[in-house]
Amino acid sequence: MLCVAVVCIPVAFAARAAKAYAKKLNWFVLIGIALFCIILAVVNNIRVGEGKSVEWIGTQDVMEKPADIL
Amino acid sequence: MIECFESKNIKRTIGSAVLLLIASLFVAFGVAEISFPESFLTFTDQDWLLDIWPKAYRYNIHLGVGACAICALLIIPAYKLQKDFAIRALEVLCRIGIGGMFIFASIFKIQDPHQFATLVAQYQFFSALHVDFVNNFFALVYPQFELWFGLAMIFTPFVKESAFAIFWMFVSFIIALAWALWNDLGITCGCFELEGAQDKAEAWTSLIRDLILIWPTLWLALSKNRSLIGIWKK
Repeated sequence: MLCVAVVCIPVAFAARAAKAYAKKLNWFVLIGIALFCIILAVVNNIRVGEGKSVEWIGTQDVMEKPADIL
Repeated sequence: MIECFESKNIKRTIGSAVLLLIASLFVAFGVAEISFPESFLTFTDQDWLLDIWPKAYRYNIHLGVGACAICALLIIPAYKLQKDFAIRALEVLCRIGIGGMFIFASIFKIQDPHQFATLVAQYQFFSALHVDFVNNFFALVYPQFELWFGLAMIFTPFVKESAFAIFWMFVSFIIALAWALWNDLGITCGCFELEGAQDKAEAWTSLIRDLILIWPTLWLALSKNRSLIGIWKK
């Protein structure tokens, strides 16, 4: 019972504080900047041209680990 | 009586400002020593020092962390001398320092998304989560977040929001670097330069830097929204 209380009480306080903090944040600004960044990322990938641009969906090859740090 | 009080107050403010200036020079030196060994504004790769002490280059991390610790110690007397001024000045310095660092870090990545996507792939984090198809898109969007949230931190009053975003970016860097160290990937951080995606085992140095810088970011995320000029208004 004591162990449960030791864990639950701080978690409940932290959740309450996080909720209060989230209410204070200006989500309109945060999401606005994030959307602006996504648009600019798309524009930038077109702008940099062949060689420096990447496929929209996908990954790159993993290189071999250099011998000197093996 | 009032004149004497004002003169004492001015002296305390100047003393606090000088201490904070020295502290910011120490932290700039410390971050440069940790982040840019052998390249940028560093002390341990100077030829004259290596002539006297050939193994000095090995101690860049020790010097960097030591400089950051001295910075923290200098803030205490600056705060005690003039509490109100020190808090405001610290907020300005933290915003310019952290925001500027993020802007600087984003430039190389925005210029070459392919190279940065290659660097992100070396962490093998997305492939471990079976979502490696997001690697390229992540590499495209993340530097833009760094640039625009860095700019927002310096030039807009939305310090709480930008510091909140930067705080979570620091958390992601710490997770990625800890992952690289845990799996012994031996990769470079890729925080400021894209050369040599897999030639240096410097992830742990970057982890130390991020663990230091996350605290002032958290402090900014909990502070009031105001512009850099608004900080100085009563």
